[in-house]
Amino acid sequence: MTDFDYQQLDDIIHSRIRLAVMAVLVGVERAEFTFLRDQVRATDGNLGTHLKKLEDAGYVSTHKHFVDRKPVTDYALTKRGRQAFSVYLKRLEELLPPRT
Amino acid sequence: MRSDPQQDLAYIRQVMEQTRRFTVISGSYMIVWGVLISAGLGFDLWELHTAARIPDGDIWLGLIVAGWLLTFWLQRREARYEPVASYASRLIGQIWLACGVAMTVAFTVGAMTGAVPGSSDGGLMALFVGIGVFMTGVLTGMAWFRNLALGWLAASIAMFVWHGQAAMWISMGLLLGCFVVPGVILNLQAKALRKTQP
Repeated sequence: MTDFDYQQLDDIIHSRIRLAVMAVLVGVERAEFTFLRDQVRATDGNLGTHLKKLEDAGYVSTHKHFVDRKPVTDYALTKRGRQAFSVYLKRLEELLPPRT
Repeated sequence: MRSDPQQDLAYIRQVMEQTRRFTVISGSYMIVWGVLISAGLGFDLWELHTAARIPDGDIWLGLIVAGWLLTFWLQRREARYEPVASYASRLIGQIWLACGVAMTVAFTVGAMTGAVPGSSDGGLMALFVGIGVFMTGVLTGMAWFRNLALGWLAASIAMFVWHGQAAMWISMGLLLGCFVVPGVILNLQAKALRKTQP
């Protein structure tokens, strides 16, 4: 296992659940909370906390609406979030050992 | 978190791949249009075999308007219930919208002005539907669905060669067997996918 400099990576994204959320949202236009929860295999409370962090950083936007009188929250990646994810991936790739 | 960038990237790829697979394609539109157009063809065939003389232009206009109204209603209804909106689903929707508009223009304006002769209706319809089926199959990675396009293409050739009543029977059979039935299968698959998503 290769240790690398964490300072170069975005702290907001560099957490297993937040990274998974970003990876899911980058491939879709929007996703419901329950879909994200099932995809990243997290509990409601845990995911909610991580989503709040991403929202506070301006990486995800939310849209609340009702379906059959039940409240549903949709999440989508913002332009800023997309850019941050792209930079994160670039940094990660730069940290890979050079191919021989 | 993990301290290996290779593992991180592999994890991101895995999550993205999992999400990409979750492209829910609704078969409801196929069922609606397949049934409506088959009904119109059935009416025309019935008229040809009986002495009934009902203006079929009005019937077809009614069926097409009903098809679009149901399409818009389904689109609004299903968008509310989808747990995720993927880019592939949106692209597929746009492809079918383009095919539908093209067919509507060809078979209404084209037919009324005489620019599109009635004898080519079946062949043209099969070509447009074949394009939609092929693109849907490619974008969703469903080989069985993509291969249905071959059937539509072959039928299109057959209907350009044998137009008239034969083409109407072929169109009806195709719409029911290669459009309505796959639509039902897609709906069943979507239902199962929603239940078994990880």
